[in-house]
Amino acid sequence: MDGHPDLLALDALRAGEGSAEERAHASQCPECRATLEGFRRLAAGLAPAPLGVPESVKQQILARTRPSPRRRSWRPLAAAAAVLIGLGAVWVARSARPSLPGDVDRNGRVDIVDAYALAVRLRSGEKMDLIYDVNGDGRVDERDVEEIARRSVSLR
Amino acid sequence: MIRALLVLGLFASVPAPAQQPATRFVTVDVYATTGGRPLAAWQIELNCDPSQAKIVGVEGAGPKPPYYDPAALDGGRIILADFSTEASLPSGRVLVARVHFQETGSPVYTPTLMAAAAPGGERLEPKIDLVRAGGK
Amino acid sequence: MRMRMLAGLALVTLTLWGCSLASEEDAQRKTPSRSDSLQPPRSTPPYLEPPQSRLYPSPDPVVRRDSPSNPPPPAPTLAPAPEDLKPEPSVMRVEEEKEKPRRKSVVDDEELLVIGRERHRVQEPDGQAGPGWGEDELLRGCSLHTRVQDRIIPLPLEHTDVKAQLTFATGSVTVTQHYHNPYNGKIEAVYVFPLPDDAAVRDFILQIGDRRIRGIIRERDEATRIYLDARRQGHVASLLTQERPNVFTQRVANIEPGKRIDVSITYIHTLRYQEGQFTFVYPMVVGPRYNPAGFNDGVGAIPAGTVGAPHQKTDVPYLRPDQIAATDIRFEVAIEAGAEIGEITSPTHAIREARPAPGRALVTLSPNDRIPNRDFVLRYKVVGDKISAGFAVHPDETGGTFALMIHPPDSLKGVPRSAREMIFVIDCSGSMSGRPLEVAKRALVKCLKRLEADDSFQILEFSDHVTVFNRSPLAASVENVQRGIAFTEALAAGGGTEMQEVVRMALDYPVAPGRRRIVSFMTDGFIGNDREVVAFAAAHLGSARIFSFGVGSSVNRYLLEALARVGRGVSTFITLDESTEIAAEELYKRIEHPALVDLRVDWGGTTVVDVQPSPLPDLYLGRPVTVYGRFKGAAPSRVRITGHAGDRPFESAILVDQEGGGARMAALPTLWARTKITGLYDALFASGDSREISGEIRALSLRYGLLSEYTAFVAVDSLTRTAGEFGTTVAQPVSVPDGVHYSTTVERK
Repeated sequence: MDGHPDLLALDALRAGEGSAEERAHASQCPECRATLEGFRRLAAGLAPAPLGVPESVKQQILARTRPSPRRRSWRPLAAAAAVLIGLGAVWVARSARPSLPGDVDRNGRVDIVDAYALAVRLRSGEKMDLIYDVNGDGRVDERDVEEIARRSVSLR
Repeated sequence: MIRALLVLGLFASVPAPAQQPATRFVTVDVYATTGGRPLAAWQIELNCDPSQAKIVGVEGAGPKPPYYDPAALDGGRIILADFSTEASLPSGRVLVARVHFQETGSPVYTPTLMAAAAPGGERLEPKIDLVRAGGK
Repeated sequence: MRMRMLAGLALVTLTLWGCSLASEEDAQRKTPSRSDSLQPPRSTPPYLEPPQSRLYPSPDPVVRRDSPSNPPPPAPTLAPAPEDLKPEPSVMRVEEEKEKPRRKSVVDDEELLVIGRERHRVQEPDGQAGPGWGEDELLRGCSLHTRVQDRIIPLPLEHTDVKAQLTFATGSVTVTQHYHNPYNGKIEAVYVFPLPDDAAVRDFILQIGDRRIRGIIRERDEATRIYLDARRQGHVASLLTQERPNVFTQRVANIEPGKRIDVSITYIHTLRYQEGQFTFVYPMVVGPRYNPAGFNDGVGAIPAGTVGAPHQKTDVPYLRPDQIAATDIRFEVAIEAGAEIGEITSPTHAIREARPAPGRALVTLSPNDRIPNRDFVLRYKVVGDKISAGFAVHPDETGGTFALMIHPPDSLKGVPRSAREMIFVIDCSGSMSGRPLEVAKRALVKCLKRLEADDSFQILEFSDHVTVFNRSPLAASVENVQRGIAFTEALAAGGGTEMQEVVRMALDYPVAPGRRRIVSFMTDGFIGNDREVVAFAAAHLGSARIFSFGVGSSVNRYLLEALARVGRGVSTFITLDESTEIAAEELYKRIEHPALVDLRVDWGGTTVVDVQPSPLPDLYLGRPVTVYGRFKGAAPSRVRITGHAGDRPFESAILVDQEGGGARMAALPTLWARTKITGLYDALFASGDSREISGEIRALSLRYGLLSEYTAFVAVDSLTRTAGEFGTTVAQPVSVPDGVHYSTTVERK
């Protein structure tokens, strides 16, 4: 994830800490925003579903467990590792699929409310980020709304 | 779930005609009751035993049929959904869809709310009930 | 508790597979309501009783090839009561626009035709009347022009609206058929009509007033039983079935007197693309087919108003030449080419175009030209030789579906061809009589004139029997070619179309060593046993190659495309108004250099499965090929093709432009499935009865929500029941295609 703050930094942002540049980046970067959202949910008491974190990833994460000079507080290593593995699970899921295509309201599901939300924003003339271009034709328009609606009713 | 029981109760309260033809065509109207909030988007799953009834048509409350997967068949399961960005939206008990069935037995129709929202995207949990008509 | 589920859901991969629809629902919504244009009639000519047509006995759930062996329920008896079914006094619709062609038709000899208020002909720019209309007058205004006894016989199908959205190389088309009942008793309307032979039909909406009921795709027999049941019980219901890849039957039951019912059908298909030009075709009418003696599984041609048992499984009723089926048709074609659009032309109709933005265009028919018995062909050029949208993907949870257009490598031009044995087969049956045969003969003569000195050639003409130009292929010396031209120019048309025999004769003898056999078929394809002939050609192909030439205004494109497909050649279509130079040009440009055969694709490490079409066709210069496939993981990016051209091995890399041009198309899984079904149909008839193949077609079409010969769309309005007995079945008659003679086809028997 070049150019993005690392996971620890993002978690710090969730906790209200972190640098101004990191905060600015996270507010503009959809991927980081999504990760941040995931951290928030985790922090609110969710346990992530058991997900096989690849060993290499686990090692990478553990290797990065070192206090960053920018962070003001320090966590015990074991707790950090536990948190990180949990976060790593989210990270793996998110980086494999940074955001669920069509999940406009980011509730983790693609349903008709996503289609509606996109339709409303389109109608208001809002310029939409290409992340909402679910049918990949390079534009965000009614066809993406239709595509989301169809996915939400799909039986498969 | 309570909703299913309500539906069953509703269903049980519809007296079966004395002499039903072997097969009959009925409509199942799907209502969502939001309790004051206008309904802007809804997604409902409808289930019934495919050996008792077959879907033969899907109709919307307005001019546009709701979204549904055209492969909704003998699985006895169909997901319907629709939304509207109109300025004025109905509230209270709203007819959202009408599903046409060919009944060959005595089916039980079970709705499940999957998603619903008010204008603005606030999620709602309307009560869903079904009204079966026809088949005389 | 719920939060955990949400988190779990957030981490669990959702399946986003589906039959994603890309239909233009907006188009349907804009269909104007038709209930407001009835006005009091100007006069009240008496009506005759509606037709006593029993053309279409109940569509019994026929036991199809390999369908489950449930015996169909006994067919409900029809209750025709012609004496009760008196037509209403004329309900003549006085339209605001004066250009609308009138409705006029006769259904049997005793009734007289009415010539309605207006008739229109195509006006060529130089003021000459266009082809196809035998009338001498051009009428305008609202005056009634009457013949000896005026009677207006209305038809169930009033009007058809076609709205097409052409995006890159895919067309999404919604056809809305407007039915009505002008009689005073209930009717069931039945209409046999064509659609493109590769159309993936996936949406079906029954419109009653303002209500729209979306239909359901089901296994064919089951859908038919549901329809019959609904019809019996008095519900308005609709059934859409497929008889052939390009022949469909629409039934609408229990249309009450005075009521209107609309049916909208949506399909998608791939547009033909060659040398910078896209072609969109909308077929208008099923041509009158010839069925060999003893063959009942075909498509029949009968005079409109015929009463009695059906001749073939599907019969199309035709109007006589002096009767004009003036059900009109309107087109609206929106083009989004993804590149600058060049010239837009139609060799068949007068069109109007608008260019709202770069890369976009809107085409409609000129109001004077709404002839419904000639295929609508629209061509448009895009700037740039190779379109950027040559690669498209539809991702899913494990990988996705892709479409890739493969262009023949330019280096093929450097490969010399081998000596050729050119076999020309020309259809001289009754349906070709008149202009079609003239055009075919001219095309053939042009092909003969372009023979090279080292070619050998043979000409076979066929109708009820086959006549050969010479006992065996002759060297293409100047003298022999002259003889061949004389033979061709003396050809005359008449009789049936026994095509299987001529296919056998063209293919079934040894090719001269060192030569490549190229068989060119010039025909309108009007046979009922088209699938059997295609299977026969596939079985006897050997090392030959088949090129098919469809000659006519509304040919059986399925046969021509299928012959070229199984014959590993290409198809070309020549309308009656185009220069016949095209035929010779198309043929020789393809065979001037060898095609790339034994095509294999190396997907560069990506796991790709189920590539369609299978087997891959040969690559001819100027004719790119679109292949579909499914992949796992990331989409293919480094693609190489290998094969042989002549004796030389060939290898070529294809750049797959994923970043810029890789459009994501929701329709791809559907197009992939439809292409696979086409291949399965070819295999089905090649191998005789095969349960496995037909089962696979059925499963695929159900899974993707597609219409096929094993599935059907049914929609029932359960809300209201109409009163009274079942009513009368009225078959919508059509005209024979423009340029085809009724006397040598429908009346031929």
